[in-house]
Amino acid sequence: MSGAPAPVRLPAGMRLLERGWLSSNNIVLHEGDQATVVDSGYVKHAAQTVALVGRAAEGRCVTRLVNTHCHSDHVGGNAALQRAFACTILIPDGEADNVARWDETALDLAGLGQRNERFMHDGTLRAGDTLRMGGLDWLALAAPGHDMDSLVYYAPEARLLISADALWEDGFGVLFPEFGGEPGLQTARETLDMIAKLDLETVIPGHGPAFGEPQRALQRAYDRLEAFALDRGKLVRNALRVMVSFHLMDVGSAELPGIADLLERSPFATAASELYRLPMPAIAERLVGDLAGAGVLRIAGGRLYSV
Amino acid sequence: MVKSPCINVCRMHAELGVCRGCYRTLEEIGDWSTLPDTEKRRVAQEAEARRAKIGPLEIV
Repeated sequence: MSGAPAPVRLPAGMRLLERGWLSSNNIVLHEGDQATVVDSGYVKHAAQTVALVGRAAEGRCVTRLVNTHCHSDHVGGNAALQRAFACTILIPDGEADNVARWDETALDLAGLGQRNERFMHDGTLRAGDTLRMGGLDWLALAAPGHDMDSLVYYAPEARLLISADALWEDGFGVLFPEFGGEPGLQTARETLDMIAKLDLETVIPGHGPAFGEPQRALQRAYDRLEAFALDRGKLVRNALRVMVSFHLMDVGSAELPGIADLLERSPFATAASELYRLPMPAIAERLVGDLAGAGVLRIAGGRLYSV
Repeated sequence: MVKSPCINVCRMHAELGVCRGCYRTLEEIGDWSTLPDTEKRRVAQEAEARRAKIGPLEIV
């Protein structure tokens, strides 16, 4: 067999803006002379998000912004998009209080060293709601695990799922709730079970390209969950690595004491101490070494740089 | 599978019309997900050629 498969085809009237990893993907859906955008990337990239979304709307008014969940890499462009397009913002019902009060701890901002711009939502969505986007009917489905309030959006007519960070082509988002005493692993597995039962051909994940053959992605995700369930150390190390590499992508470069600080203030501090049985600066050094070895960062002149 | 050239800078240079991080135009970034691998490779190579020609851009 020669050549790579063609990119996955999406229905007419949908535009997938595939971003890097710091920003979530943005999906723009056309209906008549209006457009909806799903998820808005990270605050640092907001200007480029506005430009990309504006272009993808192809002359239509961007009247609505829908979020799958309220992590900083999915809502960071909300305020900028609202200023640019005066769009209505709909967020998952479970996050409404946190967003209204802008509770940075509850929104996972403070402990992860991530930034955001405050916005106010206009309405909420909950599991079981339907909405029409891009000429299709979409069903909001509860997808706890990575985020206990996350929704995913399913269009049965197109056998298409907007899967947020519940399912990627290879993996899924960090199971933060596990570190806050919530059943992240268990609900992540239940979410995969729910997705496995859908009549599905195509998945648009929160990060990475759209993909077909969802059964293969599901199997990889199940295997990953199983590995985490059998060895909690894997879960902890993965969470720490993701947080540090995200932080470096955000700030560009950092020093080792800064990384130790980040770990200390994070929701993973206790788990990290228990796993490594080392003081935090030593854990930071170990982690940075691992990430350098994996080619995720480089060390030069005593500073760490995102690759 | 062609890797995206995005390095998470994601700031357009207004005058040059390319991203300060990956040197792609807004059109190239926006259309990336629709391109077959042959086209992705071409865009990645063009972006790299621009980087070589323009040199480093300040990340503002």
